[in-house]
Amino acid sequence: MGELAFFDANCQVGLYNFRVEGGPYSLQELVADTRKHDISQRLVYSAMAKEHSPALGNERLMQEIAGREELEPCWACSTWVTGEMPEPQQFVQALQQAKVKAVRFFRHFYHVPMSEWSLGPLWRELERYRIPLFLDLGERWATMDEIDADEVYELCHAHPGLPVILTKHRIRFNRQVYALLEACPNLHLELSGYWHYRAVEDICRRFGSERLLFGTNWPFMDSAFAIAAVTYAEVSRGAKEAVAGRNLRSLLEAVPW
Amino acid sequence: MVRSGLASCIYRGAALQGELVIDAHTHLGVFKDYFIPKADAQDLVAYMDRFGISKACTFAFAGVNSDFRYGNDLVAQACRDYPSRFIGYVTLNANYPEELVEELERGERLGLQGIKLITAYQGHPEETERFYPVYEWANARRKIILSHQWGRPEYLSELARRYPQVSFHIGHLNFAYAPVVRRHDNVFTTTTFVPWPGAIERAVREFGAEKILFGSDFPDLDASLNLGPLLTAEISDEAKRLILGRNMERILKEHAGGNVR
Repeated sequence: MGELAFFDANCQVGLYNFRVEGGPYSLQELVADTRKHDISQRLVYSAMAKEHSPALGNERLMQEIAGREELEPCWACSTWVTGEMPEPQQFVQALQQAKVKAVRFFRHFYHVPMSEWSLGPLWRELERYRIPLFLDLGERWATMDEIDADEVYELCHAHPGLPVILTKHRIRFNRQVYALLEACPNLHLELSGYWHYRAVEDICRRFGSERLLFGTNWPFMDSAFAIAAVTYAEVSRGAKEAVAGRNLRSLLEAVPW
Repeated sequence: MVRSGLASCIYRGAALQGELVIDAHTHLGVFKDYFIPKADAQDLVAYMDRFGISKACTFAFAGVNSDFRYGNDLVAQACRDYPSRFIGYVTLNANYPEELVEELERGERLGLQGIKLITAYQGHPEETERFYPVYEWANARRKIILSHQWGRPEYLSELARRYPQVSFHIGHLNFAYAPVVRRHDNVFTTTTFVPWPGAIERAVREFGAEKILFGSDFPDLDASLNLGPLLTAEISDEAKRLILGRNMERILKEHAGGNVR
C-alpha cells in the first residue's frame, strides 16, 4: 500500500516575528520540507498577511509562490470599513481573478470582531461561493484555548453553507471542541493544533473523517507530527486518505473557479 | 518516494519492529482539563504496540493535582497487570510535606521505581525546600526523579552535585538546561515538547545524543507529536536508537533494578 497523498492545510511563508532560534521561514526552506516529507500540495498563507497587513501580505504571497504548482495560495481577509481591504463583493472578485480558493481570518492580530454586525457581509459573500474560511483565533503560534466557542457557534449557524476550519491552536480543552463539532455540521478541524492522544481516530469515529484536515503549522512545528498522527491513527485507509488530503481537495473543488 | 531506516516507519504508520523503545515520560488515567479516550492500562498497552513502544515510565494524572494516593495505586496496578510494559513512578504533591517520605516508602512497597515531581501544578516553585527529604531518600536508593521542570539551571546543577546517586530527568525539553546536562553524568533530558523543524537536531548538538531520552507524554499528548519528528530528524539511526531506548536501558539497569524487558 502506497504512502498517503498529503495536502497541507496550514503553512506559512515569509519572515515572521517570534521566530524560534534557527527556525525556518523562507520559500526555499518550505520547498525543501515539502520534498523531505513528500507532501503533495500545501495551502500557504503569508506571514506578512498575518502580522502586518492582509492586503500587502496577500500581494506578496502571490509573487512569492508564483510558478510553484505544489503551493496553493490562501489569502487573509479582514474588515473593509477602514478602506484597508476591498468591500466583500470586490474581495471575492479579487479571489476569483487570482484563482484563490481559501481565506484565513486572524481574529486577534487585527482586533476585528468576527460577529455578524462586524463581518456579516463578508461571511455572506464567502458562503455564497463556499470559500473555506480558516479561523486562526490565537495571538501566538500555539495559543492554548483562546477559542470563544460562542463566536464560532454563531458564525457556523449564521452561515451553514460556509465551510469553517478551526486552525492553529493547541486545542487543549477538547470538551468544548467536541461540543462545537456536534453542534456545527459545517465546522472542521485542522490537525496541527490538535495534539490529543488518539485524536484522529476518536474524532473520525464520533463525527466522521470528513471533519478533519491534515495540516502541519510549518514553520512553527515539525511536519512529521501531523504526518505521523494520520499514518498511525487506528482508522481505515479511506479515512486516512480523506484526512490526509481528500477533504481539503473537496472543499477547494467546491469553489466555482 | 523510497525511504529507508527508522524514518520510513513514520510514513507507513508502521510499528518500530525489533527496536528497544522506552518512553521516559507517560501518564495514566483521566484528567480534569480535557477528555482522554481509552486511558486505562490495557488500552495504553495496545496504543504502545501500535508504535512499537516497548516500555513506558508512567505516572498518574490523579497524582498531579488530585488524590496522589489513588494515582499511585492506579500506577501500581498497571505495573502488576503489565510488569514487562510499565515502569511505575510515584507522584508526590508538595502540599503534603509530612507525607512525602511516607508515600515514597509506600510506593516502594507497591513496586514503583521512580519519582515524578510537578510542583507547578501544585502551587509551589520547583526549587521548594520541601523536597530535600525526597532527594535524600532517592539518593540513598539510587532512584530516578523526573520533574516537569527543575527551576534555574544552576539549581539543578547543585542538586546533581549534592545527590550524585539520583538520576535526574528533565520532564520537558528546555535548552537552558543543556550545559547542566552536559556537565553532570546523572542529568538527562527527555524529548517531550512541541517540536519545531530542526529542534531534534539542535538537541543532539547541545545535549548530546547519549543524554536525551525519548518521552512522548502520552496520553496527555499523542505519541506521534514526538515520535514523528525524532524518527525523521536529520541525525543518524544510531543516535535515534540511543534516544529511543538505549540510554534509558542503561539508566534502568543502574537505577531501577534492571527493569528493561
